[in-house]
Amino acid sequence: MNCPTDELLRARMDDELAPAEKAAVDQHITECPACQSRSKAVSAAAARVGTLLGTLDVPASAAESNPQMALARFKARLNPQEERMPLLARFFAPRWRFAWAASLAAVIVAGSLAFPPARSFAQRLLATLRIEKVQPLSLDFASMDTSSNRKLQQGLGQMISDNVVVTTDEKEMDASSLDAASKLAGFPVKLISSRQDSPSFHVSGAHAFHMNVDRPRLQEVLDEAGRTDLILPANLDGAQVSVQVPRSVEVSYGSCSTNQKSHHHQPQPDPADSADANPPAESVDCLTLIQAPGPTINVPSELNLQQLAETALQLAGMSPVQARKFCQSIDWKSTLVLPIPKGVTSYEPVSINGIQGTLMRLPGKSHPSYALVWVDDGIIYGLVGWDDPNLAVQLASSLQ
Amino acid sequence: MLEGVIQSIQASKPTQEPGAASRSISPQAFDDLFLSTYPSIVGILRRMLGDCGRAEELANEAFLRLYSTALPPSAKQNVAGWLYRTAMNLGIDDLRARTRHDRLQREAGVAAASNSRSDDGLQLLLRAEKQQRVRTVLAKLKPQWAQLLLLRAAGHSYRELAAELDLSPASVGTMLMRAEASFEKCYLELFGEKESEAL
Repeated sequence: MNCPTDELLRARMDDELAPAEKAAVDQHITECPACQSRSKAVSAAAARVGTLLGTLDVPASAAESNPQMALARFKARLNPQEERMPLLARFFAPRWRFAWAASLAAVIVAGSLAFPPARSFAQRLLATLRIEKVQPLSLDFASMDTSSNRKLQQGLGQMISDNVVVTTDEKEMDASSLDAASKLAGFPVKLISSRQDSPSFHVSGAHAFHMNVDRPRLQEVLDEAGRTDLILPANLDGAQVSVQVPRSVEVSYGSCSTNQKSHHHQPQPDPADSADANPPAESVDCLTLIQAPGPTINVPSELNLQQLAETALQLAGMSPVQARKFCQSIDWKSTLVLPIPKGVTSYEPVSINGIQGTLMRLPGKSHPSYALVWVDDGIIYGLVGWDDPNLAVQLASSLQ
Repeated sequence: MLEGVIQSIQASKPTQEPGAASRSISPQAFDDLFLSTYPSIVGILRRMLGDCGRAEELANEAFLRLYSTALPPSAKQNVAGWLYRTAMNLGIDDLRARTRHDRLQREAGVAAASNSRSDDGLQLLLRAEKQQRVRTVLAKLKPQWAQLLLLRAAGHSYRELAAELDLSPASVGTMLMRAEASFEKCYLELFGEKESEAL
């Protein structure tokens, strides 16, 4: 063959030639001193630049090694106009979710361990928490507002990436009928009998994850959040916590328009600005009922989660005395703690066929006007409506 | 758990997500593409910027654009390539902004000093200085040269480079050599003969 071009020599060096072509070039180089020299020069030039670029090499980050978690975080951040989201969506928006997860999970698992039979039952691991009623609790997560603290955001993201292993992450499914929804969900789905129109069914997939708690890093996160006064229990380090969330069902009634369906995800005027706006005519008719079995949370029995729960409640704005009193005041084993962030117009205990629930009234007319949450026979119910909040209990009582 | 309920409540209304109408890729294809390319894109942006958090931000920005933007027909034939080019252009813009404000050197020095422990400090400082010089040069190169060098340094094959940068496969070797020559020339101009010996 003729003398190869520099490009061909470079491709040979990069192992980008087909075998036959490479063999021909190799043969030529062994017989051509000039090409040997050129080949060395090409390699040397590439090596010089490669060495410099090699200084940029870094060990793989958590995000690079766990794209599944990165994808979950990406989806959680899809709403760039969070501050303009309706209230219900806003206070459950991504930036609050860590506070929710941290404080709520801690409070719940603390309760399960604080209950003596549970402690005795669990030699090493704890059993399922059975939820029977709802206990509202006013919280202020201002100290955990991560949106303005990039280092804190990174710390949280890194910690979650490094420590959380997602084992189940099912997709959402539509169901064509009540029977199909019940079969998919694995429990008998209920309907609102006082509504005569046909609903649509949507089944949310099951999710499960486990994590080993990294106490030093969690403590760093608290410190970064400005809560250096909160000290986590020493034996929290290395504790394995696993959470399993079963499938849940959403039953939707009425003519929920496209705008209304995308209500929580579209940029909206601030509720304070839109309080006098007229709602879309069809929105009043739209009603959604969520039905979700309680999750299973397993934690090591040795962990002093009573202390952790008090820490979480302090993180959520309580004084140490308030946190301790609250921890002692409720039956943790059977109670779902429902944090009510500041900003909800009002909330009140209500009775749904003798079962205690919490009715939250939401301000403004451009978003749901109420959310009613209660627990019956291990199923957590959430009723979200756009019409008169005074009708919520009547609707909820008609479930069958 | 309650969070899950509330998220369900929150998610109960929307059946159409932002950008759905203009999206160029199905949700499943988006997820698959995210999972297969995110680590690589973040890795390249980290090399480029030396900042893990910023690299993740820019990678997310690139995916957000893919998620919410209607791509031109030509880009739909090679979505992954469009994604790589978008992410790297974001990275280069960021790198240039930093270079303009002379922040690289300061950040490198601060990072090295803050991370230094005993005898490792000098080595870290020297490495940080070298990294800063390399990034300065990359910021000054024609964007396509910088993209090509960084992708190749990340181990991408000629075939992958051609797809990602919308090049003819036959021209990749030539382009690579030109990019390296341009890099070396710029490095020598900026940092002088002494550094050329170190090369």
